Amino acid sequence: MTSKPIVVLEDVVKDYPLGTATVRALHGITLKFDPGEFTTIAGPSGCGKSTLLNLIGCMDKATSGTVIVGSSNTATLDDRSLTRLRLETIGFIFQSFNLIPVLSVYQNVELPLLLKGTIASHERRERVMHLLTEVGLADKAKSRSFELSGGQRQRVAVARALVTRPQIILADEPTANLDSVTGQAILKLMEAMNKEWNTTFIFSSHDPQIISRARRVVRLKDGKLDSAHSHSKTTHTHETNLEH
Amino acid sequence: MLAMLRIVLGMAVQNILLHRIKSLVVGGILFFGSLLLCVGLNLTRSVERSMAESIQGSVGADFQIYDKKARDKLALFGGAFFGREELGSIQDWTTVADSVSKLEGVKAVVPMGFENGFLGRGNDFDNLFQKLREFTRLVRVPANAIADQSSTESQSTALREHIELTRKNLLVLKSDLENELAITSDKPATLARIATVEHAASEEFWSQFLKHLADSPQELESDLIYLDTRVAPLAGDKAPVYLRYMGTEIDVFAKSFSRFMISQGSIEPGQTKWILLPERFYEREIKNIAASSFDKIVETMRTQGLTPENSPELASIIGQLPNQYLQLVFAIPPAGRAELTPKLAEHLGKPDGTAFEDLVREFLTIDSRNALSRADWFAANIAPLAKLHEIEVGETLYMRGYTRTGFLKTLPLKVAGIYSFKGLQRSDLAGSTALVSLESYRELYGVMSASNRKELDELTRSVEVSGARVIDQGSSIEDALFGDSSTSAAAPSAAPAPTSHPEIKAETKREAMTDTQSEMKTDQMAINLAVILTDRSLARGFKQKIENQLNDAGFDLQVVDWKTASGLVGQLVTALTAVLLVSVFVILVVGAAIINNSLMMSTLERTREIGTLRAIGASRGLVTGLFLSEILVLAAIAVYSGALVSLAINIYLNKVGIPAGGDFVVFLFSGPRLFPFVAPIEPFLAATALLIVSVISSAFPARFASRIQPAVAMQEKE
Repeated sequence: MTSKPIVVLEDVVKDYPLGTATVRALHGITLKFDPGEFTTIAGPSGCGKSTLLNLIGCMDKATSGTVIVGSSNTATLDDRSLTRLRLETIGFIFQSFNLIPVLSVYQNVELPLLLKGTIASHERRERVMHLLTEVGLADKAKSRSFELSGGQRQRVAVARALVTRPQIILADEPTANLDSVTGQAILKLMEAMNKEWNTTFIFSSHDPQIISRARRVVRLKDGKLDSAHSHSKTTHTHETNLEH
Repeated sequence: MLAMLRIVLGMAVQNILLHRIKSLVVGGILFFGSLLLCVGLNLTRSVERSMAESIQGSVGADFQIYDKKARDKLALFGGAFFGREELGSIQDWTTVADSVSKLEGVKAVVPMGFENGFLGRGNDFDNLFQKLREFTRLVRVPANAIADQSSTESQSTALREHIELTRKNLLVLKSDLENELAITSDKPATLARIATVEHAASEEFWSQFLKHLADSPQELESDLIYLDTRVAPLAGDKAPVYLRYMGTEIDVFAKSFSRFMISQGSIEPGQTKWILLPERFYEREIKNIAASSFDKIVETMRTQGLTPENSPELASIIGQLPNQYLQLVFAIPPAGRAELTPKLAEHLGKPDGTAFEDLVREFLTIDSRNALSRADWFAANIAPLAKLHEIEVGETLYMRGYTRTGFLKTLPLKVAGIYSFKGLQRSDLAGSTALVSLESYRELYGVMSASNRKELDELTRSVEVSGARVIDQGSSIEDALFGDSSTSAAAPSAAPAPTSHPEIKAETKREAMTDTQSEMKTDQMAINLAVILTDRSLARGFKQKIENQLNDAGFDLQVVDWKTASGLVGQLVTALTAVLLVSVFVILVVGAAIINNSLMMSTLERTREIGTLRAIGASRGLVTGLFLSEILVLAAIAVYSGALVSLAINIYLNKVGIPAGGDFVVFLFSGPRLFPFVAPIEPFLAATALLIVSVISSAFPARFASRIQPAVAMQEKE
């Protein structure tokens, strides 16, 4: 691809303190993500998938190396700026959906817009209802999250992630807590959104079925880049070294 | 922004509802804290106000002026250990009062002086022999007058009974003396006393007595004198009754202290040797013990609704009552006994001819069932015939006390009346001080009155005339001057003392005498002055005004406010406030700790939610705001409902009043019931303070919450 990458990682190292010792979660990762990508980060538990997503999602800083999101080097930003960067640029989808229990479906989706603070109420309403229609939950706008099924909740989460029209959506094992049919449906929804909005989707997974749907697979093993394959949506070349 | 605020508040309310138990615990504590705080503050302030009224309305006034050089602090209700205070004196109170009265806002200046004294009381035999005298008179008179046979008969029966009673008492005294024999070092003296008592108790003595009664008034008188002077003194004195008294100018006092009232008797104009007894003292200390027991029975059973079964004190009073029969028998004069005997016999269903004292003893033997009816019968039939108080209005009592120079002084004072302070009748504190004229006070204090000084001047002149004897009697005069001035004014001529310093010349003596006289020219002496303002609201800053005025006039006096002047009692108000503040502090600390703890718990429970909020772009400030608004909403609901309920309680208490449980509380409540005032704004101010503390105490958990990393949102529970 020729367009400017939206996320750039250069020789990224991440250490975590563990008592008096330190554990190295990531060993010099270098990666680029272009706008509109639909990429999965694959690997077994503890391989560093979440750490990588945390760094891309501006929720943590690298011990060394450079992480550039949009056009900002996250190492140089303070907490306030990182929060702003997350709000403006990134949408999040979590494995456990993480809806705010005391808010209605509508309010959950509206929340990021309120946090942005600059969007007029009628526009907020339009955007929220449009997205809820897209994810098929317009009729559940007033429901509370505990009244919804797992799939419905994740659809609300997708809508919430998209409502600010971010350039990147980060999803951490988005289908892990769902049955396979629902998981596929969510993935389909994500694909549709990716196409419609040209939003970059980066999601972690260890489910081969999910991984097979990604246009690019980044594989991690013990905190190192094991291999990275890019394949076009049409070829559907199956990865050779899947560990399952 | 408004929408954000709405969502934050919405989330706060939803979270409160979601975590019901936590909300109930925190809200409950805040509610009760606020309720306690508001009710407590209101009650303390009401008590403070009523107590101020008690103190200010009785003797405290607004300010007190006394000697700057005083060694002790003025304590209007007695010092810490009830010792004798050294408060200096104000030589001429009228000039000070004139000066202070010039200040605008001063209503009155009342001179005062406090002292402790005691009443000399004689003993039981004095009373017995006094009664005997009355009986003999009664028995002898009708015999000479137109005979009323039945009356004479009953009188002589009463006399015989009285003689029996007297003999019984003498036998008790004899056995007391026999006990004394075992420990005394002067056995012959005690044996002589026993012999006297034995003689007085003997059959022979009394048959002679009755014989003298019939035919020899002179012999009879000699018998009575023998009993009065030889026998009665052997019983020793009754325990003296201690009494605090205050000297004052009664007219100014009565006008200045609104609560003061004389319930019995009055002071005649021009009278100086008077005493007004406090009603409480009159009813408690010098009332006949049986009558006083009936009073207590009525008060406890009828007013307080207690029974001997649930009040050990009442049970003890009822148990002791039969032992008090002699005191009651003594209190009833012969005429009364004659009238009462048949009535009592009928009431108790006893045969005619039962001895009066046995009837009285039987009457006083009561239980819970007949206690009240006996008390009523007592009030209706016995009380009007008995002398219920040892000293009654119109009689003379002997106030004894030590002068400032250390001499025991006795001053006869006419009991002009009984007084009390309105609403404080039941209070020991307000009802323990007798009032005497400032002149009597000065005499007991040991300064010379104008009349005594005149007497001394005359004496001095007569001494001058007798020339050579001046030196010999000098030291006695000195004693008279420095000591017990009024009673011993006549002493030099009566009992010449041995000359201890013969070398001292007459001149020196004369000089000393003149000096002392001028020093004691203190007809206007007082110890302290109570300053009453026209309006209590003027009190702030007025102390300085009085001080300036006194300084300008050249008086070396100090000014204290009523609270300081009332000593320990005044500090009680401060102590009450301190107790309240400490409990408020404890409530606040406990409340703050619980809020802090429960919010920490809830923060820990909600880390993922907070992490999610942070991940999707909520700032730290927003998370803090979310937590603060949560506690703000919860605390506001709790504390303001607490304030509302407290207001309702105060309104209710204001209507019904709080009864003063103990007698001391009457003083605190300034009456038998406290009616707390209703302040509508204050509870809400107090509640707001509690609200602020709640919010502050949630600052740490809120800050902790804001520090939660967004990455937490990614972590799975497993």
